[in-house]
Amino acid sequence: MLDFLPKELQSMLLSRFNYSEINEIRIRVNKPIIVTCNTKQYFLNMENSLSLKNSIYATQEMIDNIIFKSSEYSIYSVNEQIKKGYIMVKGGIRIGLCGSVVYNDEIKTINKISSLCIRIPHQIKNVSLPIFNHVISGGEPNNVLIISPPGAGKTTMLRDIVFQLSQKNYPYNVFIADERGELSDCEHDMDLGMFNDCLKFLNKKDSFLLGLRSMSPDIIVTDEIGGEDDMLAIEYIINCGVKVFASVHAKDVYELKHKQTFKRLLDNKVIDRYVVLSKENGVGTICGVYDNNLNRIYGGV
Amino acid sequence: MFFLIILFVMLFGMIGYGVSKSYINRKRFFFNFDLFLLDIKSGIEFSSKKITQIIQSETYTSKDFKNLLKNYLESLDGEISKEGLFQNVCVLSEQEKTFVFLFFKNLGRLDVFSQVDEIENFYITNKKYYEMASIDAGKYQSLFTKLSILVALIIVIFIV
Repeated sequence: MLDFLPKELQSMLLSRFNYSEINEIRIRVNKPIIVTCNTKQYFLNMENSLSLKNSIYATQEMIDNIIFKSSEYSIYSVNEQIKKGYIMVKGGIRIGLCGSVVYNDEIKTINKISSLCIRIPHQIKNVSLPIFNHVISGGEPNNVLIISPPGAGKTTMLRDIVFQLSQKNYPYNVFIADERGELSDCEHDMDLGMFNDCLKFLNKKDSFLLGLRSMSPDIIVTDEIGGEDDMLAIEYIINCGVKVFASVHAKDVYELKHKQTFKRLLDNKVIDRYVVLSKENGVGTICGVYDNNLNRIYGGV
Repeated sequence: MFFLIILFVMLFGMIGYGVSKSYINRKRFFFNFDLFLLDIKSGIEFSSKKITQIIQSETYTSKDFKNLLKNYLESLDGEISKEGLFQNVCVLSEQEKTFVFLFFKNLGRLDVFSQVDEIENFYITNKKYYEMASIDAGKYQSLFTKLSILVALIIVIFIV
C-alpha cells in the first residue's frame, strides 16, 4: 500500500509500526518524519519513540520522488488534484500537499512542494453498529450528518454505515459522491457491500445531479460538506426524496450552529440525526447522537 | 563466371549497405522520437494518460528507440542515469544522447503546463536532429553502397 514511499522508508515504517494502526505520516523538508499511530505521534527513528535521536529527516529529493511515484510517474496527470491540494493514491490514501501555489486568476498548480501529509484510511468494520438504529429507524433511513474534528473517524464511520446497510440486507441503492476518492476505494480491499455505486473526483453539486439522473439512488453518501453550494445541493436532493448520509468538520453541534453556511440546513431541520465523534477515547469515539432539534437522544461518552 | 561476378558485386553492395545501416537506424530513432513526442503531448493534453500507459500502448519501428523506452521504464523506480538509459542504444553521438537524456530526466516530473512546454521545445530541436540524421543517412547510405560496389568491380577487374 505504501509503495509510493522510498523503499528504505517503507521497510522502516512497516517494521516499526503495524500498518493497520498508522493514521498519518507527516513529511516536511529538512524536518524529522512523524508518524501518527492510534492518535499518538512518533518520530520515525530506530527507537520508535518521541525522541529526536536518530530521527529520519526528509529531503527535498525524497518529497519530489514521493510525488513522482504517487502520480504513477506522471505528475501532470494529477494536476487537477494538486490544484485542490492533494494527490489520491490507491487504497484511498490521500497525500495532502503544501508548497508554492502558482496563481493566475485561479490556482494553476502547486510546485516546490515542501510538506506532505499522508493520511491512511482503514476500514473498521462494525464501528457504526452502536448508532445504526439511529441511521435506520422504523425500517426507513434518516438523513444523517456525522460531525467531528479532522482525523476523528468521519469517513470510516460513513464507510461502515454503507457496509452495514448491505450486511443487514437493506437493499437501498446507495450513490457515493466521492469528491476526493477517500470514501470508496472499492477496487482495493475496502468492502462497501453490494448496493453502492461510486462516482469519484467530481464536485458534490454536479455529482449529486449526475447521480440523481443516472443512478436513481435511494441514499446519497458524501464526505466533508461545507460550502454554500454543498448545502443547496443537499437540500435539493432531499427535496427529491433521496436520503443523505454526510459528514462535516466541527467539534460538536454547538460549533456547527455557528457555521453560517449550515444555518438554513439547521433551521429547516433537514437533517434527522447528527452523530458527533471525537478522539476522546481513541479515533471514532461516539460522543452522542442528536435529533433534528439538536436534542441528545443517545449518550455516548 | 558471369553469375559469380554479379554475386560478388551484390555481396559487396550489401556489405556497403550494412555499413551505412547505423545512419538509417539513427534517422529512424529520431523519427520515432518525433512520433513519441507527439503521442506524449496529445496524451497529456487530451486524455491525461499516464506515461507508462502511453509508452506501452505505442509501437515503434526503431529497435534502438524501443530499447531506450524499455530502459526508461526499468529506471522509473530508481534513479535515471545516462548509462542506464542508453544501454543497447548505439546509434547516437554523445551530444545527441545528452539531448535525449535531458528529456527523459524530466518526463513526468513537471506539471501539465511545464511538461507541454518542455515537449514543444524538444520537438523543435528534435526536428533539427532528424533533418541532420536524414541528410547523413541519404548521403552515406548511397556513398557506402556505391563505394563498396566500386571496390567489388575493381577487385573483379584485377582478378579477371
